[in-house]
Amino acid sequence: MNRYRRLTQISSLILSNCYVLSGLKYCPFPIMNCHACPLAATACGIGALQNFLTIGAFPFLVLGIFILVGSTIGRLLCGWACPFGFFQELLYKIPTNKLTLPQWTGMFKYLVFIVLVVLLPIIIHEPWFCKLCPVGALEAGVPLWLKDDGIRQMIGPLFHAKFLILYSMLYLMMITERPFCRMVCPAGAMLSLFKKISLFRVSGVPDKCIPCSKCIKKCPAGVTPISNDCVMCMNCIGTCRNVRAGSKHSK
Amino acid sequence: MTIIKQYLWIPLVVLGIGFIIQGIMLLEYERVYSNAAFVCLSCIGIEEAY
Repeated sequence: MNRYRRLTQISSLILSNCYVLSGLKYCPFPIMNCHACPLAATACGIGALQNFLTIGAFPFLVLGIFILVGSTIGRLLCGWACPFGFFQELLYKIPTNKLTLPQWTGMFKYLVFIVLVVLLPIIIHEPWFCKLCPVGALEAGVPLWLKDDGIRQMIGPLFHAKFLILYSMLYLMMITERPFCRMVCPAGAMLSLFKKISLFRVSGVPDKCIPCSKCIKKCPAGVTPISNDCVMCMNCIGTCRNVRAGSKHSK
Repeated sequence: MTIIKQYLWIPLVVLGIGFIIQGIMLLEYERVYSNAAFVCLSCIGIEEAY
């Protein structure tokens, strides 16, 4: 299963950053891949959502895509297609002392979503999540800083703040499992709302769970399949009879 | 309650498709991005006022 997932993640990384498909830039995708990256083929769903909110328009297209994806496959794209999730999994393979984040840190992403993605764009008409987003710093900031003299001349405190967040996040990615997905990702926060109602889902019965941690050891996000932070990688399927994936759910 | 949870994805899919059609009919995405040329200064980390 993990081999297929790796292949899907590599394919998604190439397709979503394949310049020849840039006609798809009008289509927001619910994965973290910055549309300001010179190679990006699609638009960032969260960036697009903030743009609509800053101009005071109801984001029909973005919400429609999130609702459609969330209600059918939930967070499957997080575990199988998100290029930034893949990047985090690769960085975690660097041998260092590892840290396990407490479960409550998962609530932080909902705060990020409400304040930076929804409230600030509506109130002060500026996309504050994009301004601080480490994905944008890595995928758009670095290449454009390297290639564009005009961009280099415009660098100011915000650029440095954004890179400070990126460096902190890169360090966290080496010592803990998918910290951006767990604590920050607003796309994951939106899609996790569909966790208990999506057509296809990974689920388990909390009452039948014995704290053996077999599923947590297999999980790239370091959580149980019952958790809202589950990225549906399905590595835990087979480790425990309580864990199931599919469209038929235990009651 | 369980039955509602089991089939709630159906009205949500309909709502999602409805929103997508509405968004395409309004050409709202082009309206937002037509002048941005996809080089979003906020994404790079640059204040336009500099």
